Amino acid sequence: MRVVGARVAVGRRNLFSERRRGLLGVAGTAAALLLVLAVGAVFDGAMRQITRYIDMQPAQVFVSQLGVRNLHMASSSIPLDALEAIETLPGVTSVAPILFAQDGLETGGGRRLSYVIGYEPGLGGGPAEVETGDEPGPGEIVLDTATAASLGVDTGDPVGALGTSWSVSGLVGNLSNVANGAAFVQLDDFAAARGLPDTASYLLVATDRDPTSVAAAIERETDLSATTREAFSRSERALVSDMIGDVLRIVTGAAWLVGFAVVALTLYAATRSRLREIGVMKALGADRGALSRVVLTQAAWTVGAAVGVAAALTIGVGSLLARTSSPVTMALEPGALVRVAAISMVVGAAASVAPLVKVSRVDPASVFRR
Amino acid sequence: MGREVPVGRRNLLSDRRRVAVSLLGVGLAVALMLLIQGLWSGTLERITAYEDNVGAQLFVAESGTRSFQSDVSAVPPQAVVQVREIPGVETADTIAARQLILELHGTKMPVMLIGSLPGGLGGPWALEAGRAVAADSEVVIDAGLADSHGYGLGDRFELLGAALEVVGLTEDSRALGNGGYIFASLATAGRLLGAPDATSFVLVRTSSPVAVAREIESRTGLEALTAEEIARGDRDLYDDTMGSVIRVMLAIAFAAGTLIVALSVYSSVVDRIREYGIVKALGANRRRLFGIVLAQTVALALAGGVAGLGLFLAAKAAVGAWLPEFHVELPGSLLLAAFVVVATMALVAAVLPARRIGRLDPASVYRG
Repeated sequence: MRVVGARVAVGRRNLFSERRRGLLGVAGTAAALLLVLAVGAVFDGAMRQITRYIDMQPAQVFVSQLGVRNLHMASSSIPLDALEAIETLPGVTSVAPILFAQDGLETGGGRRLSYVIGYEPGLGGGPAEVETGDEPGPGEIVLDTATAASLGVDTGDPVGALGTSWSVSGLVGNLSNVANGAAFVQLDDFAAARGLPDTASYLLVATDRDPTSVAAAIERETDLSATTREAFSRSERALVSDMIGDVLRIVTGAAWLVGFAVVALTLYAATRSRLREIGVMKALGADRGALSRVVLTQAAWTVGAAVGVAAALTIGVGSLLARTSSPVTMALEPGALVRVAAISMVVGAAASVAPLVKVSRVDPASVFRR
Repeated sequence: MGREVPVGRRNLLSDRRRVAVSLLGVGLAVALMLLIQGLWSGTLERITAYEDNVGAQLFVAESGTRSFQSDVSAVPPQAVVQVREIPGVETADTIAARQLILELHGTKMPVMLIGSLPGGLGGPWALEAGRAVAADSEVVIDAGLADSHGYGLGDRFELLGAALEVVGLTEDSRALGNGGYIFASLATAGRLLGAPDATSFVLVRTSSPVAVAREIESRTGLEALTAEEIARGDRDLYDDTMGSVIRVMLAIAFAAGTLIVALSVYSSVVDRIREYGIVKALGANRRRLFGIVLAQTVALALAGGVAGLGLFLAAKAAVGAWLPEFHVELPGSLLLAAFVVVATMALVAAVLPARRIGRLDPASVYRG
C-alpha cells in the first residue's frame, strides 16, 4: 500500500507492533498445527515401524513358500533342502534360514503379542545389533526394548514363548510395531520348541548381483516365491495398512479437519480484531487489493512461524517419546511438513481475507466517529 | 460492593462472535478426542464379536492360550469326548479357527476362518440372509465383506484354492484387524488348513462355567477359559499393541485442545487487561481475580465440551453412514471421562491467564 511515498510493510509491522497479540495468533495456529503434524507423525511412524525388521536385514531377497509375500500373519514353510539349491545359484553369496511365528510372550508381569524369530547367530536374520547383553545362546531369548519394558523384564529374567521358558540374554533397539513386539531365539531352539526339524519359514538371500534377477532365478529353479527386500517390505506395509490403516487414517483425517478448522478460526479472529485499523486504512484510500495484501502478509507470517513452532514441538515430542519405553514412534516426513504448510497457507489466507467483506460494506468515515 | 458482579461471564459474552470462534475451536478438539476414543471403544467391542455371541460359556484350548484371535491353539481330537463326559456340560463341540489373509480385488485383509460341525456349536450366530452351512462345499461369509466385494447368495467364493458356494451372510462383524468371519464345515476348514483332524477349540455350553472349567482343566490338562476371560485376553492384546498408538494420539489431541482453551481465554484476558487492572485497583484480591478467570475458562471449556459432544455425534453418524465397518461407541463411562478431561483442560488452561493477572500492577491502568 502506498501511504506516504514509500511502500510500508503494514502486515508485518502490524504483527510485530503488538507482539503479544501476534504471538497469540502464532501460538493458536501452532497448537492447531501441532495436532495435525504430531498425529500425522504418529501414523507415519507406525507405518515405518511395521517393516523395521525387514528393512534392517542385509539380505536383499526374501524366499518363502509359494504365494507367500508377507511375514505378518503369514504361514510359510520351506524344506531346508532348498537352501543348498539356492546357494549354488550364480550371484548368491549367502543364505540364512529363519523360523518365524507370531506368539504371545508371557511373564508374571503380562503378555505381549510378538514376532518370534529363530535364526543362526552369525549367519543372518537376527537383530542388527544387540544393545544390552548378548545374542541368544541355547535356551535364551533376545527382546526388543519396548517389548521388554512392556513385559517388565530385563536380561537374566525368564520369559515364556513357543510353549517353553527362555532366559533373556539381551535387548535390541525398538523393533515393536502397532501389532507386535519382536523376539529372537536360536534356530535349533525354535525348531525343537515347535517340532519343526529341517524346515525354515523363510530364507534370506544375500547377493552381489541385481536382486531382482536373483529373485527371478530362484523362482525359476525352485517351487518357491522369491521377493526383493524392497518389494517384500512394500507388501508388508500394504497388508498392515489394509488391516489397521483405515482407523488411523480416520483419526488422522479428523485431526487434519480439526487442526485446519482451528487455523482458520484463529486467523479469522486475528483479522477481525484489527478491523478498525483496516477500516482506517480504507478511509485513507487503500483499495481492496491493498487491504487483502496486508492481511495476507500477516497470515503468511503467522502461518510460517506457526509451522516452524509446530514442527519443532512435534520433533521434541517424538524424541521425548523415543526416550520412554513406548512402542510408539513418531516420524515427521518432510513431504508431510510441506503439505501441511501449503494447506495452512491456503486455509489461513482464505480465513484472513473473509472478514474484509465486512470492511467493504462499512462507510469509511464511520471509523473516525468514535 | 453490595452485589457481586459476574465479571467473568460479562467479559466472555461481550464479544459473542469471538466466543463463538473459541467455542468452535474447543468443541472441535473435544470432538476429536471423543471420536478417537469412540472408534477405539467400538473396535474393542467388535473384536470379540465371536466370543460374545457364539453361545458358548467355555472355550477349551491348548494350555497357555489366552486369546481366541491371536493364539494358535491345537487340542487333541479326542478331547471333546472327555469334555462331554464331565458333569454339568450341556453341549461340547469342536471348532477349527485360524486367521488368514485373503486377497480380494487387490486388497489384502485378515479374516477369521471358523470350521464347525453343521448344526453344532460354533457356527454363525446372526444371519442377515440365507442359511448356515450344511455341506462341505458351502460357506457363510460376512455381509459387510460380501457387500464390499460384490458377493451374494449362490456365488462361488475362492478360499485357499477351493471354490465354495455362498449359502449365507452373517451380520457385519468386521473390526480393526479382522475383515470378518468366514464359516465353513469343520471338515472343509481342516482340509483347507492342511490339517484334516485339526481342532483348535472345544466350545462348551454349561450353566456352571467356573466349576466345569476347573473340572475340565484337571481331567484334560487343557486350558478352559470362560467366554469373558478369552474375550478379555483379546481386548488386552489389542489394547496393549494398537492401543498405545491411540493413547498417544489422544494425548496429543488433549494437549492441543488444552492449548486452544488456554489461548482463547488468555487472549480475552489480554484484550481486557486494563479492565482487570481497574478491578484490582478497586480492591479485588488475587483470589477474586483468579475466580473470574477460572469462571471464564470453565464456562468456555464446558460449553466447548457440549459443542464437542454435538460435533462428535455428527461425526459418529457420518462414520456410520460412510464407513459401516467402523463402529463408534460412546459408553457412559466415556462421557464421564470426557467431562473430567474437559474440566482438567479448563483448570490447566486457567493457569496461563491467571499468572498474567496475578502479576498485573494496579497502578499501570492509570498510566494511559
